[in-house]
Amino acid sequence: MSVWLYEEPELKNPTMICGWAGIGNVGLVAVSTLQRLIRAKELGEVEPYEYFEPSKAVIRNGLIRQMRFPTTKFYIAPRAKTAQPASYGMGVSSDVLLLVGEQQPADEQNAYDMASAVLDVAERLGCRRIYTTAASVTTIHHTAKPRVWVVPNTPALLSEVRQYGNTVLMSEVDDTDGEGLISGLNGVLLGVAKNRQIEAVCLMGEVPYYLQGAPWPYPKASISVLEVLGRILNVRLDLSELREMARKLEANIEQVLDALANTEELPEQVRVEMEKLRQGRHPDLGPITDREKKEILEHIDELFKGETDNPS
Amino acid sequence: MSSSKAKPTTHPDFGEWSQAEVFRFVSQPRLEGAPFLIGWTKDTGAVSRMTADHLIAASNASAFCQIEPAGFYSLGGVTVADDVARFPQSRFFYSPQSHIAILRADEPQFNRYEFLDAVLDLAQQYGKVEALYTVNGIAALTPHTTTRRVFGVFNDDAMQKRLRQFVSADMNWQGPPHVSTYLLWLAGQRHLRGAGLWVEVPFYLAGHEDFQSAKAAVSLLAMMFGRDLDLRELDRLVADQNEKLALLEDDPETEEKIRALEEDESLDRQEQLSLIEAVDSALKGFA
Repeated sequence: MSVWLYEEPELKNPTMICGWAGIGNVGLVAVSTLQRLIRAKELGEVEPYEYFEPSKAVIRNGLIRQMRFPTTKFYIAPRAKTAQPASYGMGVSSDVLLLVGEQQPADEQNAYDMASAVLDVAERLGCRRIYTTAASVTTIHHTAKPRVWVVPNTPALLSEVRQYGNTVLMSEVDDTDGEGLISGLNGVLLGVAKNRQIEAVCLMGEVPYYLQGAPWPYPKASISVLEVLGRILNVRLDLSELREMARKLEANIEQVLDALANTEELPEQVRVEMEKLRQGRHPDLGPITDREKKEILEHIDELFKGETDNPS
Repeated sequence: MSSSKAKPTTHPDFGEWSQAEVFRFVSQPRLEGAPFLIGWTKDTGAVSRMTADHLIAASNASAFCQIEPAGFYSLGGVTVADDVARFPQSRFFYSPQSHIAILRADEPQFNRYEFLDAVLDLAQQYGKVEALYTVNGIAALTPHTTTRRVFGVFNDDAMQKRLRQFVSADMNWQGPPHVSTYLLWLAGQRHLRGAGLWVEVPFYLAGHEDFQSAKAAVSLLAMMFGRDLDLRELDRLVADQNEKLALLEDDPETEEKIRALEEDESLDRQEQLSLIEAVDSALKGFA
């Protein structure tokens, strides 16, 4: 497993923050936005060949000009000279190593191998703390502000993660009893880091269950994750662009729900649930049954499929 | 670019060779300087497979090695086709008399990169071959009555200059790569030169064996390699298929569609489908 690093920077206790593509692209959008805001520069990348199939070939005039693979890139942002919070992300108060992955490996072995490769780099550069970012699919309504579910890989971090603000532990969620599953690389990375005795925390922005299959990102959850990261890094982040994107998306979701409500063949039960979503009363509703959830998801997905060609 | 799937080992005959355990050799011919053709068993018009098969037959090539299937194919059982059990195969052939190396392979289902990397290890580290050549069919709105055009794809400027005279036109494409293109690109990363030949197949023959296209490919390769190959068997198969296809023209509607293609006119979706059906039933009747 090869990783190409363009340089070997000397860092002091850097924090690593990872974001991969996934549900609502919550982590990917959060970390790539952070990279842009703190002006982190590209440091290297994970060699893609053993993890991914090429996504695109460019053959021009008979010559193979390019073979494009999903990228998994490292970025580095050295700490600001001042210890004060920097304005709008122009600097951070500690060295930060970012990882932005356009795709997650499809099989478990490759996910484990990639997590190991990423942690090799983290250890090489002296990282003692890692954050992964992802989505948490919940019954939250799309008009509500998403919370951030936090899962550390050691009990020693529980008290710290409670201080981040707008966060929730698994044990604080009804019926979970502190138990759950973090699927994909975000979970594997947490586990492999635990085996290496590296502190790691997964930050998961809430995404409404009925939008988990939507073909667009869910920036509201990314914003919540970035707000937490801003506090952790002691940096002020200008999230106005993401907020504008979230506002447009919310309007689009309303349109989709309106269109769905007017679908004639909608089963009555689903229609009732849709109406509740449209009225924004979902947080006050009683528990939704698995059957109702399945029916709503099926119809939402159908509608989104029709929308993918013409996203707003 | 060694693979993590195959642990580096020391092969008794080949020294430090990262992928030696992936292969099962039955003999160790010297491939140095030989052109190396890759033929895939599933392909449009079966062009890739037939090209490999006819090159193997015409050059009296014999198998010297195979890639172990574990890790590359589903091995939960066997598939049955034409009443016969099939099992994934990737076999390397070599012809001492023509000095040509050939891989006849099922496309890997898993770990495609590792498979292609292994093929390139054999070609480059063991074989030190001259260059790689891939051949494929490409479905086109063209009739079976016209000459098959061949489009070229190259991973190297010099290779393109040397072989441009043999191809009808250069390929242009943007999108997901075929396994042949992926292989050529990986070869290019190792500075191993390669060329891909894409032979036009009339769209209504894409699901059949298009002998004319295979003959075009084999003839072209013989010229490119400077080898004198016996193509009489292919000539016979082409004549036989053309005879069957000529009967299609007894049907005025089918004849009209073929004439339209000959005059470079397009067919709408429905016309294409009806031509495919007519050809399917005509060729099935002779099977």
